[in-house]
Amino acid sequence: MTLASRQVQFAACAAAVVLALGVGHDLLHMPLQVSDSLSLILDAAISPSAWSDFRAHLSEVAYFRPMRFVTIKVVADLSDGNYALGYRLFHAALVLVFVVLFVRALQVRDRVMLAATPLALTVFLGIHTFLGTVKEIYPTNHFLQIAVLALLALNLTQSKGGLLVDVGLWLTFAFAALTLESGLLVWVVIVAAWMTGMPGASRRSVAGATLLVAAYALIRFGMFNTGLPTIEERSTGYLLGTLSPEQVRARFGDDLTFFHMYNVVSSALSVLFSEPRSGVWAFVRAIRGDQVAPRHFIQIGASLFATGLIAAYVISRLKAGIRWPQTLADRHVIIFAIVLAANASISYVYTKDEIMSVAGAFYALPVFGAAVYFLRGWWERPHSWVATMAVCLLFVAGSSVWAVRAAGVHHVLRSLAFVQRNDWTRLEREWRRDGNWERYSGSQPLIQSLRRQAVATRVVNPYFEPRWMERVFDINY
Amino acid sequence: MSRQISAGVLTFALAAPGLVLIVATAFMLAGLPFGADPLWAVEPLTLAEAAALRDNGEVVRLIDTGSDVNATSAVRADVFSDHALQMTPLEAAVAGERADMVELLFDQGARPDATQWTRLMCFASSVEADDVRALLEPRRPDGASESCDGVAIGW
Repeated sequence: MTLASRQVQFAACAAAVVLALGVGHDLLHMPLQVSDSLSLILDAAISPSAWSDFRAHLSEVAYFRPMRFVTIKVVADLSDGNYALGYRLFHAALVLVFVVLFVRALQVRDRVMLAATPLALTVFLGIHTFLGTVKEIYPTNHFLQIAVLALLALNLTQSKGGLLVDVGLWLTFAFAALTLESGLLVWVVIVAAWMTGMPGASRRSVAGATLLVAAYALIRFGMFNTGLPTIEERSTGYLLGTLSPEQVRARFGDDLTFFHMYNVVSSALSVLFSEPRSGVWAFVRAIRGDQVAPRHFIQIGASLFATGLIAAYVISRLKAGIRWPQTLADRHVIIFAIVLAANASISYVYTKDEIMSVAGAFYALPVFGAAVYFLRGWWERPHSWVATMAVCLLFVAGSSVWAVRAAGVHHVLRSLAFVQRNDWTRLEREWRRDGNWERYSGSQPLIQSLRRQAVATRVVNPYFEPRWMERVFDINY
Repeated sequence: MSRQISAGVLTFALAAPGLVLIVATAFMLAGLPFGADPLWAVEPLTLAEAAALRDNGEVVRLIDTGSDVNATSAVRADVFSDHALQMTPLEAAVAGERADMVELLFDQGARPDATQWTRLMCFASSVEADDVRALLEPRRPDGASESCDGVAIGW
């Protein structure tokens, strides 16, 4: 590697670190989320060991996530009683790793690639699925963990390979699969990387990972009989609203094929076009409710630009007679397409933006490759003023709306910090109503301490936010 | 147009917006050690303002740090009217028709006197805030009237 390419790599990595630290700074201001995380923290605090947590969560109904509880326990132990800080630091560190792994996978080697890196980073951070990885601390965000592990697997497959890399891939898969159902996507990444000829994905790594998938199925369904999530788990978006499990049953009866297909297709479309959001066609609903805001055009416009870049790239490569991946960008396109299809497929029960966070993270890879491809084309062939100006306008507009989306992450996190801090003040009332107060009577000092810490966190009141922000930046769907 | 210029302009067009965000973030981070935090700059609120602006967390924080839940404090102009008002947190919560906040303030020890209770009840009735009325009803102090004749709301 030349000095110049090292400098370019360093610059790309520095840009990624700056943006990640910006988000990490927000996370350190976020109170822990109450409804989904407090009982987990309390359980972790009284649990004797990570191993006992692992064993206790092997045989849950519908879910199989023992490593998630191990992670929560390990972070709790490492935080030495300062849970709020411990979980927030863990989350911020994971975001840093997430962004650095992404930029590492781009393999930025020259100035043209460096020039496309800001766009790639804003797409990576600005896509709505990224919000799912940062907006809540559950107390560890398992969607983020899976997305990080998927990118780690991709990075490993882009290495020179070898036995150590194979073992790394297997461990990555095992950790991901035991953390969350969408961890199975790590296997998809490994197989897709092998199919496209990534040097680090060997036949042995694929065979080993496939054996682990079989073992996973055997342990989960054969030994512990956990079953799969059903539509009874939660409400889900459908067309212009949300359906409760009862409404899904009433609408579709026993044959849920169409409903499942809707979930899969809408999940895939959501990554490509920012619509629908968690199954709901938010833009159409906004039009019908006369509530269209600039953010709708920004989100859809940004997605049309980025997806259009990918489509134009694919067409151009096919026109050039390329039928098999030859470059890293070709490989990234195919890997993204496979991950998108697989990620959408596992959303068949219900759709949620967070579930698509792996596909969302991989979306920025082909966008980067396509941008670099077209920039290089411009450097290699002369073009007229008119063509240059037209494409310039398109590029400025496209990359600007992505920068706006990425900047909006801060706004969403500030808004959510306000909501989550308020939630802590309702805790006692709601837990008394639900019977949790008595259930955790032995943990009262810890609950009060966490509540005090959350309330002492200074957050921005939305009243003081300029009104334009909620019209321009994304909101929490 | 020369190829170099054309490609340079295009490259700049693609990179500039993201670069602006990266530079702005770097400046924001650089300011943190000096206490400058534009993203998380918090506007100080009085207890009544926090109650008016559905800031439950700030209400609890202020009470935890010694603010009197029954004392009046200033509510800045534009929250309820074009001029600043002096209100108790409970008045601010009722004026904002925030039943959740009213409940929180009662939990935190707010106790309206008879005159105040009548005023709050009359306001809640006038805006048909039934959820607020339902919270006020069981906390009626001795001597409080339900008649709103001649009662001035005051905000």
